[in-house]
Formats: sequence, C-alpha cells, structure tokens
Amino acid sequence: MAVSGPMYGMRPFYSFKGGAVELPTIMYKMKNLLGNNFASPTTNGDMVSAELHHLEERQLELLKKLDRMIDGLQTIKPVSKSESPFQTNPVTDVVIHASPDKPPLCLKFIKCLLQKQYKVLWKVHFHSSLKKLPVFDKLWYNQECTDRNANEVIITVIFKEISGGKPVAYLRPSMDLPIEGEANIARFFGRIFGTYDSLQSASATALTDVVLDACDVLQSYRSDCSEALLTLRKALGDKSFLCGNQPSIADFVAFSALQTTNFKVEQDTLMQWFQRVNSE
Amino acid sequence: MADTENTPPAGDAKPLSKSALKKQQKEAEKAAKKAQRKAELAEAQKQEQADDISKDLYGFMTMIQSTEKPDRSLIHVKDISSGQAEQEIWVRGRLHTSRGTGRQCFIVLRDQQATIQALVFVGENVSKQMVKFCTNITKESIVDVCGVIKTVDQPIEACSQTNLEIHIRKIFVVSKAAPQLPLLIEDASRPELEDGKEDESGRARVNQDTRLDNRILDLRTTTKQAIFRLQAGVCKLFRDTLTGKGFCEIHTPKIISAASEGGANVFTVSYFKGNAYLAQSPQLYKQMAIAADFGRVFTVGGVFRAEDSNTHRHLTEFVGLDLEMAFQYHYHEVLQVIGDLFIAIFKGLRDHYQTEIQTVGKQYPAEPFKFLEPSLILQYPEAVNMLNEAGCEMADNEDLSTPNEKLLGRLVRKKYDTDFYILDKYPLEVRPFYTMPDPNNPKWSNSYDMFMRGEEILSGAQRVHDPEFLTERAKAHGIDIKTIQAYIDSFRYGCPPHAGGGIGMERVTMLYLGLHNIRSASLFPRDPKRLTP
Repeated sequence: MAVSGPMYGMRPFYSFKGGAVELPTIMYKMKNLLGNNFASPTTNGDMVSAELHHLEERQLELLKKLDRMIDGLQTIKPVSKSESPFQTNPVTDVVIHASPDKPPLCLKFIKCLLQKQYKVLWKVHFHSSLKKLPVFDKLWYNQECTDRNANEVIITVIFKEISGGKPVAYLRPSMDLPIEGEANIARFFGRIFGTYDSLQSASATALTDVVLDACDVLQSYRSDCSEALLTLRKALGDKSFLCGNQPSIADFVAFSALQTTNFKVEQDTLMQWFQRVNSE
Repeated sequence: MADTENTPPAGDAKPLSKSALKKQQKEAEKAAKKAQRKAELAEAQKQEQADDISKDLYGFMTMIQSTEKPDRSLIHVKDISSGQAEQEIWVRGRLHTSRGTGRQCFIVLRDQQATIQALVFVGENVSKQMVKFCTNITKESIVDVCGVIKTVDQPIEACSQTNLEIHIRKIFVVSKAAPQLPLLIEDASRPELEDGKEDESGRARVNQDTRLDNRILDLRTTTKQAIFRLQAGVCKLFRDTLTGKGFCEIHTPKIISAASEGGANVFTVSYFKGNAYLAQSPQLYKQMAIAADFGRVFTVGGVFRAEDSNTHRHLTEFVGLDLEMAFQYHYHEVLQVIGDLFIAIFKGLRDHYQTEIQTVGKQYPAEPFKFLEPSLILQYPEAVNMLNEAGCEMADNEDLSTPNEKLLGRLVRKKYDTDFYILDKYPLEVRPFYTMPDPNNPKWSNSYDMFMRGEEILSGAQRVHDPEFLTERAKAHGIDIKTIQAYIDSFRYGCPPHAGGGIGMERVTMLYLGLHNIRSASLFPRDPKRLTP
C-alpha cells in the first residue's frame, strides 16, 4: 500500500485568517489619573490658561532677570573674575593714617571709583596728636552711619602727626604689615578695581610703576624732583592721561603728589593734564 | 658677818661694808662730774648763744595760735620766677631733704608739686650754730624761710625750679615732724618700672601697703598731688561739659531698699529694725529722673560693690560719673553725646593739666593718651573678627574676657592709633534684662562699652522703657517680677526712650595717666582687705 502524506495530522497552532491584527498599545489599562478635567478642557479652560499665562510670565521675567544679571556681570567683569576682594560680615575697614599737611588726594578719585561698585562708608577722624584741627574741604567730611555692617567697605582716614608725612594703610593689625606710601596704597586699590597689574599688559603695568615711583620720589625728597617731573612729562607724552585715554591710579597719585608738594607746573602738556585730572 | 657682806644695806642704821662704801663714793663722784660737765656744757652753750651773731634768725616758732597777723606775704614755690632774682622773699614749705657739711647746708623745700633748692652757709650774718640747726631740722617739718632768690649756672635737675635757688637769711620751724618717718617721701617718689622691676641702683622703694597705711605721707609726694588734681579735673570737665550740653545734675540716694542690679554683690546695712542696702549704681534713680521729665541728667557720687575681687582695678567703693538722657529716635544720639563728652575731657586734660601729666609721668612713665575726634565706634562682630584674626578663639555671642579686652585694645591701637574707642552692639545675652534688643537681629542689643587703654571704663545701653516689654524681658532672664515691680512700675505712666551709662572716675584717672593700680587713683581706697585709713 502506498503511504503518502505526513505521519500525523495536526491542527495548526493558530488560525490566521488574514486582515489586520489589533495589537494592544498599552500593557495595563488604568483610570485616567488626571480625572475628567483634563480630558474636557472646555469645562474650566480659562483657569488653566490663566495659570499657564502666569507661569509663562514668570519664566519671561526670570529670563529678563538673567539677562540683566549677565549684563551686570559684564560691566563689572574685572572684579567678578575673582570673589569680592572685601570680606563682608563683619565689614572690611581700610584704615589710612595720613598727615594733614600732605593729604592723600588720590583717595578722592579712589572713593568715587569704589562708590560705583560698592556700598562705601567714608569716615574721617582727627588724632589727638594734632594741636589744631585742620580746615578741610568737603572731601574730608565724616559720614554718619548707625550700622557699619550694612556697608561693603569702610574707608577710615585718620589725620595725625606723621614724621615724614607718608600715609600708611592698615587692614588687619594682627597679620599684615602696613601699606606705606600713597603710591602703594593706590596700587592696593588698583588691584581691587582690576585696573592695575591684573588685566593690564606687562608694559602698561611697568609704565604705571614708573609713574608711581616718580611720585614716591616727588613726595619723599626735594632734590631729585626735577628728574621725577621729567619722568612724568615723558610718561605723559602726547596722551591725554598718563596711561592712555582713561584716567588711572597713576594719574591720581601724580595729581596728589604735584598738588601736595606745591610744584610749579609749567604751561605745557603737564599743566593741561593737571587740569584734566582735576576735573575728573 | 658673811650675811651683811652680801646683802645690800637695808637702812642707814646698819653699818656698810667697805666695798659698798667704795661703790657709793664712786657713784657720787660720777654724779658730781656729770653735773659739772652738764653745767659746763650749758655754760658753753649759753656762751655760744651769747656769741651767736644770728640767734634771732632761726629757731622753733611758738605754736601759731593766731596771736598776730604780720604784714608778710608768703610766696608759693611754684610761683617763684627768675624775675624775682636778687629779691628777698618769704616762702613756706616742707623740708623735703637736707644735706649739711659743717659750714654749709643744702635743703630742698617742697610746696605741693613744686620744689626748690635752698642753702645756708656760714657767713657775715650766718653763724655756725644756724647752719647746724638747719642740718638738724627733721624731714617733713614745715618751715618759713626768708631768703634771696639767685639764679644758678648749672640747672638743678632734682627740683621743679631748675634755674633758681634760695640763699637763706632766716629760717623758722612752724611745725615739727617726728624724727622717724614710716616712709621717706624721696623713696615713695622713685620712678615705678613696669612689672615691679628694681632700678639699677637698687635704692629703697615703698610698697603699696606701706603707702596706703601711711596715706597722708604718700599723698604728699608730687606724683600723688598731681594725680588727685588731675582727678578733680576729670570731675570738673565732666560736670562742665554735660552742663553745657543741657544736662541737670541730680543727687540720688545711696541707702536703698532693694538691690538695684541683681542681689549678689550688694552691701547690707542695718536700718533701724530692718535691713537696707548700699546702692550699686544710681541706675534706677537716674531712669526715674528721665521718667520725671528731666530730659538729660548726670550724677557724681559714691557707688558700692560687694565684690570680693582683689585685682588692680576693683574697689568696693568708688565714685561713679553717671549720665542718662532721653533721645529722639536713635540711641546713637546718646552715643554721640558720650563720645563728645570723653573728647572734651581728654582735650581739657591735655590742654590744662599738662604740668600734672608731666609730674606723674616722672614716676609712672606712660605714653601720652591718644584719642580720635570724632570718637571711633566699632561694632562687636568687628572686634570679634579682629580677635579671631589674631588667633584668639571666641564666638561672637561671648562676652569679652579681661585678656581679650586687653588684646583687643592693642589691636585697635595698632590699626586706629587710639587709646579710646567705643564698642557698639553687644550680644543681648551678656547684657542685663533692661537692655533694649537690636530691632533687626535679636542676637544683638542696643548696648555699648567704652574702653581706655584696653580696659572698660563705661558700660551703657538703651534701656527698655515699655513696662510690658520690660516684664517680658525680665521673664526671659528668669527674674522674679515681684522683686523688680517698683522698677517696672516707674515706666507705667509714660517714659521717653532713653539711654545712658556709668563711668568709674578712678578708672578714668588711672587709665588716662597709665597707672598700674586703681588704688593710686583713689584718695583713701576701699577694697575687700582694706577699710583704713
């Protein structure tokens, strides 16, 4: 007998009849967590849109604030490079001892620059070593303040008898050596503003140093002053200010040196510069 | 017989032994000789006195009983000037020191803070006896001297009148001092070195207790004369300055019924059938004066502290210079007034008491007192930060310990070059309950201390003037409200906001002059171990 076909006949595993197979889209079915509200926005859609509007407004506002912060940061970039140079809480108090005969006039400009960036308290005291209280212009007035700690930095100027007349700045009495001389005090503040040493090119710093050294000479000895004046004149050249088109600490210290030592400035570029700084 | 030989004669009746007779005879001879010598000496003295050409020019004055009022003006040593050279003047002073060398005698006359050299030498009108008399006048006797003022070639460094001396013509002792002095004024005036170091020559000096036991002698030293004149200046300047600022002087009771500031350090005195206390401060009474609309008040008076602390700066009784004032809106108005007050005192002392400062400086060398105008006001956290930077561990809510106070004084002096400063905003928890808390941060308070040469001299604050809040603050401090009811009640009928402080007069004197011990600045100091003189 002829045997053909499979040994066993079996039913297929499944019957595929053709056509689309509907596969489930989710594994488990659950009740809508949001309830019916979301599904039917028409019922209280006004409220939701108000909320959304509010959210959107806040976001825009924050973005604006951030923009403003970026702008702000860019304007004070030199300082923001490092942390604030002043320790706060308690406030930093820079104390400058000065002779009333040779007031450190560069502080006038430094004060203005500081006030642009920080909340500054300006204190002026007269020491008991002075027999007579000097009469000063408005620059050296004492600012009243009920809460010193609300400021970022305090500049305290103490006028007293100093042999030699060189101003001296104190920051921390327990650790630091005092900063001696107006030029060095200006360097200290110059670093805080970032206008000295940190951002300048090496040659610009060197020029500032030359000028500051000349000022030191002007304020210390009277014999070498003609040479120092020559240095200043050379440094000025035909620029509007000693270190370029912008007034810098070099200009302020030189101004102070010339002012307090009563040098006759001749009618030339130096004189024009002198008036230019004075009007700053 | 043997008996009588050894026993002394009992009566005239009994015959004397040979040896006893001999003895008696010898004694009689001796007495006769002595009498003769005495007579001779008296005779010689009489003769000498008769020969003494200057016997009316010296001697002991009869006790002045106001029998006469001679037309003679005594010039003070300090007022003698070179304009009076070659003039004859009368001077009264104490014989400070004398040095005689037979034919001449140098003496130093002292009158309060001033001294001048005087000398007497055998000459036309001066006898040997007069010079001898001068040499023998006991130190510290009061003498009237008549003499001629002469200028000298070599300045006399030991005297305050360095260019003048007196050539004595007449000298009379007005009041004699006992020959033995418990302390020598010279020794008591030697320069004091710090840490009680001996000076090179190792000369005698007087210790503190000997000084205080014999206070009237110690007070005669030029240094002490200067100290207490300067102290009077402190009080005068305090009164004058505050009166000028519209303050009214008040006098507060010292016998009080309840301890004003806590009960621990208060003296109890018997008061008829019960007890009373000695005031530790006029605090309550000056505040009541403010509540009674006096506006600005001050008081100068004794203050008593029963603290058993034997330090260089504590007394059990001292003079408090207290002030209290109503302010408009901020207690810094008061701080300003007190700061200005101190500047006025320091300036007044610097300008009008320079002689006294110089005199004290010779015995207690100190740097001149430095201050700033306007006064330096620092805040407590700044002070703590300065101390921390100097390597001194302390939290900002801790009170200043005495060594920290001293260190801070040195740091402030280095940075600000001032011996006087104000420290504002003390932590609330270290101040008494009546201190007004800071409006912005309850950790701090509206209170302040003031320091001279690194030591606290004034403590003050804005006081709580609201009775409800005061009750709350007292409760927070765990104080029984009943014991301070009267204090709280004094604010019940409305009271202006006010602040004030109290100054220790002796401390100001001591620290201004840079003395080492507060007892030097108290006329008759009282401490736990001393009630006399």
